[in-house]
Amino acid sequence: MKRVRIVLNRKGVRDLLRSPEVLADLKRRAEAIAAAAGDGMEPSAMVGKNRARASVITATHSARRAEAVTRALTRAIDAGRN
Amino acid sequence: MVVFPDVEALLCTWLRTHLPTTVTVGNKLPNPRPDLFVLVQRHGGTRYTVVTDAAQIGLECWAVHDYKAHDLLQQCRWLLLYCLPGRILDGHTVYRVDEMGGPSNLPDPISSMPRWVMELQVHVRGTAAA
Repeated sequence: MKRVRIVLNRKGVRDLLRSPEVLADLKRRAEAIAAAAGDGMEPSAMVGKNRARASVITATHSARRAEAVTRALTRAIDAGRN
Repeated sequence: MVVFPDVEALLCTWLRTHLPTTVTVGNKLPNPRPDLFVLVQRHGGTRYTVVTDAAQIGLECWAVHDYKAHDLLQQCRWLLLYCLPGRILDGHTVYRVDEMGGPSNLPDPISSMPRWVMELQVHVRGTAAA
């Protein structure tokens, strides 16, 4: 059987991971998680050196307390799956 | 059609048989709180394949001393990551256990009782619906 050699275009992959489309998708997911988690959760998204990334943080005292007591942010991760 | 099991209940039962009898295991906070307690709660997780459920499980280990809570969490972590995969619990095969969030020191803000927490994903096979 003939062997197939796959060579990734690393620059192309990097460009894809840093593209506005990927950034927009990550931002949408982070916003969905923050909305599901409740008040005081702050989503953000940015383009890093090799890829775009997004995060959600507990930005207020009540949000931090909600995470510590009821795990509000942890339980909301599923909102970012679709 | 496939029916998925109660992963919380499966894990609680399994952990009870593998942890010392001095450790209380459950899915609700007991009142009064015991000296050593493991809280197992499902925090979400979706169907992974047609027949497997990837449950997101939150593990909380409570103790009167910080180091005891930490050690208990590490013991549970070892049991779940290295001893559980491949076992059949009440007719349901556990295929895989992954860490979603590693050990974290998160004392209870209400009682200030020491608590270490972590997040796992447990892949469990369902059964055919009758």
